[in-house]
Amino acid sequence: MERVRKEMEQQRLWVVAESQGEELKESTYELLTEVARLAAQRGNKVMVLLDTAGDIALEKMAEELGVYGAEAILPLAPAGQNSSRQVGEAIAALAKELHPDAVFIAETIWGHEVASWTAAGLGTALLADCVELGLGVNQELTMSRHVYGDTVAIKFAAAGEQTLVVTVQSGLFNVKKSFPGQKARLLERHPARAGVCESVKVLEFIKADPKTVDIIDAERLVVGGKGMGTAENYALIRETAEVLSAAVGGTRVARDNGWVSLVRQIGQTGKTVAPELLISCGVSGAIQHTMGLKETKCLVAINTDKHAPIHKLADLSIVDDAPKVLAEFIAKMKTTAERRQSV
Amino acid sequence: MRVVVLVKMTKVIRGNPYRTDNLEALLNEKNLALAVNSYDLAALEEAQQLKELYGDVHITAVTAGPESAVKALRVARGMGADELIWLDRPAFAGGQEMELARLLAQEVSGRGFDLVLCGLKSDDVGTGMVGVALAGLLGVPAVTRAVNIGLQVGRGSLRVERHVGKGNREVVQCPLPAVVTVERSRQAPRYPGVARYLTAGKKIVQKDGAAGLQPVAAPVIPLETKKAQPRPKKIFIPDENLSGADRMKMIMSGGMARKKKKKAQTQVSGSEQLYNFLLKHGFIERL
Repeated sequence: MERVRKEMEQQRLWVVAESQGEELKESTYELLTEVARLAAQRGNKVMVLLDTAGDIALEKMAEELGVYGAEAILPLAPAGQNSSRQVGEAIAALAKELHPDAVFIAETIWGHEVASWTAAGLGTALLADCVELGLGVNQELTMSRHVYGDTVAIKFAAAGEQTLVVTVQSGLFNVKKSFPGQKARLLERHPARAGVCESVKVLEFIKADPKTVDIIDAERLVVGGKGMGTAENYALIRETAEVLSAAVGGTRVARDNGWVSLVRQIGQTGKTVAPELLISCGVSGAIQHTMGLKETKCLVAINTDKHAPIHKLADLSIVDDAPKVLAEFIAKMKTTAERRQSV
Repeated sequence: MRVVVLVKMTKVIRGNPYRTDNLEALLNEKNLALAVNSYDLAALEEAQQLKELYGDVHITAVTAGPESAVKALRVARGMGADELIWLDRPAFAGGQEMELARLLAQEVSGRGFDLVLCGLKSDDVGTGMVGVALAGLLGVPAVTRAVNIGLQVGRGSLRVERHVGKGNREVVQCPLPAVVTVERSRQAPRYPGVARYLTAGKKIVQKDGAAGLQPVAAPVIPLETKKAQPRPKKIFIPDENLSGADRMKMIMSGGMARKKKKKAQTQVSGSEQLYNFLLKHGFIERL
């Protein structure tokens, strides 16, 4: 036990991993890659704290995370549904004993809450939403974070012996397997949970209504452009959206013609969206619009012009008149729905 | 019910920092504008809505900081706060959130409360830690990111809708007393009433905010301040199994190069193609 403790004290940098079902989130790998890079420069070791609901294969995870630079993995005892406070306070209690230099967490809703509780438990500073990690002249940790609405960057350096809690924006670092062949040691499950019994109970979960949800959050979008021609045709977009339980978006032309409001405009002067499915109808695909579509997973383009740039981005391109296609599609969906009901 | 709302003024940069080389002048105290934190306005709005719904709600607004912080209290008074407390002390530096939380905890626990409302984070620095740290110090439960707050039957606990990303909400039950941090919702906060705003000065109770607390050295020191770089783009590294030419293509297109694209088939109608595609990718169900 004493030996394990000694070893754990050598792991100066901790990374808290966030699980998603049986996997870890992508942001965790990004963070681990970056922290492992720092650790290699400082001659430190990285420990990954894993909050598991039990359905993660720990041995397999140890093998996998070792490649990214983890030296050891400490599974935390499974927490309940509303876990951030318990996890955060457990990490704080552990950090009080072992004094790591910093605890790193990827900035997500869960991650931010765990970080706040950890920092509050330790009585230290929380550096939230950092964009850059580095080392100072004396090998101390430095972090940059943006303030005043992302206009000014302030670089902080660690001072004194206190453990810092740092959350890092996701999507900034590349995931890299920098330590091929390395295998992380799997430590014994950490039993300690902070004493507070969680009194906040989750009652229900309300799914976002596609009609009112902000298009930034929408999972499916139907977008219409100049090619829709008239406001009457644009109603087909709304109807298709209803059939597919998707949200409605528009290009600048659609907004200028009053078919959609400004809050539903996509592109340079509108919003950037990240849906799973986007059906683009009568949109040519000018760069001012498509720059708002970068994160789209699956793009269907319907446009009469087969040379339109939108077809180059599409997973499925249909060279046809969008209103006609949509009207037929809606009719088809309705008949299937009717048949489904009669069966 | 005694509701305490924590408010603060945030610093707003006038002008565009990308257009100037003299960042120091831009960040000079004299050149910075001040505005009430938008999340705190949402918290004030929630408190006022509780008052309108349940009647016997006493709202106390608390702020800490120098003279300039008082405007937040005036706005709070205009939006319906009954009592105004100003903890007079110099402004906090970055990394001192814990000290602020201790100061607020001292004040809030001293006067007694059922509910503490505060913004999820501030517009200027925005670590989003003070609310949670306060709950920790007071030893009460905390709910974060609330967009809708109501009382359960019997008034012993709260029913809070919290925003959990992607527009989805989670409804939680939380016993009182509690700390709730409020997310900005679509609903715009009301305008402060002019008469109440103007006469707020008489209501403000000034307290010494520096007394009784040991100053603690911040665990971080600011090294340098510069203009924020635009968010660095993640450099795309193509799979090593691809041929050199393919990798080159992918790098040049920033990874946007599409996978196998389905060629439009002329014999199948557009709607049929769309239907089959959505079916194949699991966006709609077969019959």
